[in-house]
Amino acid sequence: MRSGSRFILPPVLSLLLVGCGSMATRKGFYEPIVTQVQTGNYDGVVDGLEKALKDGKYDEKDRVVYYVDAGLAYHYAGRYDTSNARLQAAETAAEELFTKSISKAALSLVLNDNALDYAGEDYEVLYTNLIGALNYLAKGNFEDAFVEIRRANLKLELLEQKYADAALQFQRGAEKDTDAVEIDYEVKPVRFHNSAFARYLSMHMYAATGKDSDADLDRDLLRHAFESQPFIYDFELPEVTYASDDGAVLSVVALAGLSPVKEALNLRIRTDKDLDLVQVLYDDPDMEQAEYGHLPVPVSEDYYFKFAIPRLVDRPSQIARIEVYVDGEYLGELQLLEDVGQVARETFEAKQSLIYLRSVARAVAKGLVAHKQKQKADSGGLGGWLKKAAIDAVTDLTENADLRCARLLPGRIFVADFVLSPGQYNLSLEFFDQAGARLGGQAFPGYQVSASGLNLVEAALLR
Amino acid sequence: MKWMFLVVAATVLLLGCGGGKQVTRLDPATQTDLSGKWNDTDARLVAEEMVSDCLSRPWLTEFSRTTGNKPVVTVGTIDNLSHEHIGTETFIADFERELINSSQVRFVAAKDWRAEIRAERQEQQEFASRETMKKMRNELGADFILQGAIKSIVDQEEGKQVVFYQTDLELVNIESMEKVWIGQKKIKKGISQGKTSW
Repeated sequence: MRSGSRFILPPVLSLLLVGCGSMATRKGFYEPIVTQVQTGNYDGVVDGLEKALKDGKYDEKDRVVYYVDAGLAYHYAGRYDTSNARLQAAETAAEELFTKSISKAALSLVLNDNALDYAGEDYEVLYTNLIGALNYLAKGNFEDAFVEIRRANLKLELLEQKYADAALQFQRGAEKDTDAVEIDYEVKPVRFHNSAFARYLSMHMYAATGKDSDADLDRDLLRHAFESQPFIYDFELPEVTYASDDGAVLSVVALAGLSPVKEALNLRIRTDKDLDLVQVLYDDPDMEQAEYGHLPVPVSEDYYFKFAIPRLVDRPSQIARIEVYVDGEYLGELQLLEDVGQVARETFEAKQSLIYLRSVARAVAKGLVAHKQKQKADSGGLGGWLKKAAIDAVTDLTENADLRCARLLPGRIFVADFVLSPGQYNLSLEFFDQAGARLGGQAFPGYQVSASGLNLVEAALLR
Repeated sequence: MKWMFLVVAATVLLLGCGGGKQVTRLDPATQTDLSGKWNDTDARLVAEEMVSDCLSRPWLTEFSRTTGNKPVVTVGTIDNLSHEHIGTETFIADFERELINSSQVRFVAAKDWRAEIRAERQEQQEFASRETMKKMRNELGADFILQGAIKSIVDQEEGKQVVFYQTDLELVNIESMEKVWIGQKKIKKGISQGKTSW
């Protein structure tokens, strides 16, 4: 590895020029918005997000975060056309930026990943399609709802290939760049390829359009999602049905809680020049000296460097049970169909493995340069001490985990299918916590259950 | 010091010095492929080629020979079974235009449009003068209906994506249910994202 003084001053100047938004994730403004989404004030959430946009809380490079969250907020508020406009903007931007963000990785080597355009996580983009499908279904537009389901399924099919390609691009880039640390970019395989929620929706859509054989196929694929991906669906397969000889089918979907968010995992690197080894340790007082991982990387010095990577952290939901009532009478309970948190973790791990390797490469490169700068600056006395402290401060300041993520995605998706005689009913969904206390509910007065077509009710409580 | 200024300048450029919006008027016949998605050029090309194929097949001369009339055609449903939001109405409009302009067939309005026209005629019965009022039950009945679907397949490797669109259309005799023409048009597009190495 080659090194020089050129790594230290550019970040300082760049920092001054581009501002803090490029160095660390801005997320404080989300606190009141998340509180409002948890209390069900969805119009307030929409206003909060639009105000944040107007106030410049999102930079151009953060637009995918805004589009996804705004798309979700408008969906919860029942403004389906605007929701779809935002969700489609999110998807288009994410597709365009994924490759671009890889090609701009040089910038993140100087600063950190916060300086790059955020291309969205796969689970975020996947649910833009599925929420988009719900939007179209709410408007009775089956054709476009089907397009969203197909797009979701297509993304899942291509997911493994996407990260294999990304790793290859990183590897080729690293081989060409003499400043880069020699690291083998190996990506963790993505094991998620079939969404039960996508299958559930398309099963009902096919049945509603009279295509029972396609509905059968999707029901089988839903079952297969559970059987072939037990690490995602580690709970019981819900009973689902799309047709009955005894009456019409009422399908109920409930979005509950909020998905995980990214938080910084602070780590330290210890290099060993004799062993050509980079050891990565937790930078946490409780786990001091515990090893996170190690990599065989040729290094010229023995040193300690700090760095941080993003990790997904759950936002536990209070909701333990969701019940459905018809004309005041208990009808049944919803069952868990998809844990968005599990999907998020599985799909994020592939990317996280690349982020980790690149962060190590960046931290080693920057850390070694900083060390050499400190040696040069060590002239003794207060002046020398101040210079060394400034170099440490700059190195730490430019090393932040990219914590950008959608903060309004639901955490879990519950469903149930009930057989009712066609007619008009006063429906309600009631959400309860573990102790049986009622947390909230949603009413659908005068809901018409039709003998044919789709009878789909959707409710959300994101606590 | 030159390297330092270069890095800083590159950083600023990369982080976005956005330019103002520019609008350029384009000839509608110009082939524009910005996103790689199905667009107006695809709709136009598919319509032109499929109509040309449709009108060159024996069903047309056969019908004219046996009835002595030009066939009357209407457009039914063209399903979008692809992974993209395709406005099939643009495609249908292109198809109708090509068929009508060929002067070899007569065309009646598609189902979605008929309700509005019938409502207008119904109103005329009450509000228009006897001389200008259009007659009820005097519509031209279609002999054939055109139905079909647009499907897609996507493949991807190393940042390159290949999208394959297939348009299948069928012309069906409304009285006998006989399929008199089946047409297929395939479009294959390669989409690659620009990339630079680091």
